[in-house]
Amino acid sequence: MTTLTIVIGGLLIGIVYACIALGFSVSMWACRVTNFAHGHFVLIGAYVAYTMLGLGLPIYSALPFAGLITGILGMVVYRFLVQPFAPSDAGLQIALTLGVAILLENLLALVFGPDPISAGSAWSAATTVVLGEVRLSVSRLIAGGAGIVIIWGTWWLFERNRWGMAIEAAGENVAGAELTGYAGRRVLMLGFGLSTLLAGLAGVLLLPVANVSPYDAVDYTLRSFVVVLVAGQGNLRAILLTGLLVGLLQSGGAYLASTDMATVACYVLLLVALWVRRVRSGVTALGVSER
Amino acid sequence: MADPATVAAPASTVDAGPVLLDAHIASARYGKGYAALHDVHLQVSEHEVVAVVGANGAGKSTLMRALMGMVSYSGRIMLGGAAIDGLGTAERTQRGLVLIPEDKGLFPSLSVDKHLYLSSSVGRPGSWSVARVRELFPVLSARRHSAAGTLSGGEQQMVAIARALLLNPTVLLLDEPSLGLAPAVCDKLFDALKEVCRSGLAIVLNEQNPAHVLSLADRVLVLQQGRLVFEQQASQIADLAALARLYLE
Repeated sequence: MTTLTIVIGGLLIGIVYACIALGFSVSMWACRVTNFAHGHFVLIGAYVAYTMLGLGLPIYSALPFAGLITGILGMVVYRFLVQPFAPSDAGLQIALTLGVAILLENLLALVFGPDPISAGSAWSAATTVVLGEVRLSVSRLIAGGAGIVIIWGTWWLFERNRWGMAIEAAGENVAGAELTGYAGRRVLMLGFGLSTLLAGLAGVLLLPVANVSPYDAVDYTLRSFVVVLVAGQGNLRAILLTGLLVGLLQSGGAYLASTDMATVACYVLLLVALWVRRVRSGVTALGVSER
Repeated sequence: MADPATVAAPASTVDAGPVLLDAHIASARYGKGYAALHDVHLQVSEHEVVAVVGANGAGKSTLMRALMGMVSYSGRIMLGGAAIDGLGTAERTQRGLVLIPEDKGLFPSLSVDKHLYLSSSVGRPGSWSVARVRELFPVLSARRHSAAGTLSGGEQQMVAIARALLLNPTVLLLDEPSLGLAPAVCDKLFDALKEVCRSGLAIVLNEQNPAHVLSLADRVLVLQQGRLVFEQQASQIADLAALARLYLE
């Protein structure tokens, strides 16, 4: 395998990671909810795609179903758990969504079994494209392309569409949103549904490029956390770049050492980013640099 | 402070146009706490500017919040002849009862343009457009891409007023628009508000500064400890000192 193949493959997986982190960011930044079940919504998307494949349907047909199911489930979680019990307390939100995570994890294991699943050869597009020295699986190319469309769509929603703007507005000031004519709490529920919808779509894209099991969800949540903390909340461009970097680390680390070492590299990236940010804010606070 | 025993009879509305807002708040309270308003009756007619004045804690902001359904109240509120008591704040806003709150209610990280777009896309059809509010407040064009949180207090108030106007309200509620602003900025703001009044919009103004009150209001109400204790046509109030005496002494 050439270095270029590893880099391009890593970047394509990175786009999928960026999609996963994007949903997490929408939840944290726009709705002010820390959702520790985010990775489980990703897996629901992956398992919906797996079910579609089992029924002999193309994997792309899973995108609207997975989005719909995870979006509605997210809104139900927000309306009946987050909003009444932990609308603004991050600690309570983490405890509450961890409970949801445990429930979903066991449900997935009960229904689909604990063993890892993959799209495998069942996916008709699981072939390889050779461009000179670069060999790439079509599954990764399609996942990367679809990921770019999802990221662009999310950017459009928050920059050009009133409902995206309303979600961001309600997250900042619910009363202000109400006084602008938007039912703030309902808008926030839509925003949370959007974040879980994005997770479900990312899950569909993940299945062709990775093996997944019900017990991987926490890892995806934590990796999203890493991307959002490194990139900063709501900064879509930085989220995409950080997702790509995480993909590269994951892909390169797995090739050079092992999958475990690649995961460790992600958390080292987080520590370095937090350290750099702390040093920079400390320097600014001392008035040495105004940036 | 005005003595409740000397309360004048309610003044008739200015040009006796149709009543747009007719509210009778028997009581309003925060949670299960004390009642902040008692038996307040407020009528606002077409083209009329009604000022509500009173000392701090008199219940002026509570009255505004009760009208918007942001605090629980007992009573009846009619807007354009229809009861709006069962409606939430967003629905009241969509029906044309629009409040600019004391804290302006802006979204700090959203740009000026996004504020205007959010409002114009949900607003009722009417004479106020983005172009018209930009003409009223030219700074909105200059700062169109700036986040609201980075604007000065005066600019933020202009965004808040522009956003409210784009909803094309039937009745506009203004809660302490001059709060925290420098006198020169305040004067500019009230010049713009005079333009808004000339457009014929019905306004309920909660304001502490007597000069600003008399520059805009057709009718003045004085609240004292949650009760309406005085009501007078602004033209019948002799001067600023007389008005200030009504609620500051």
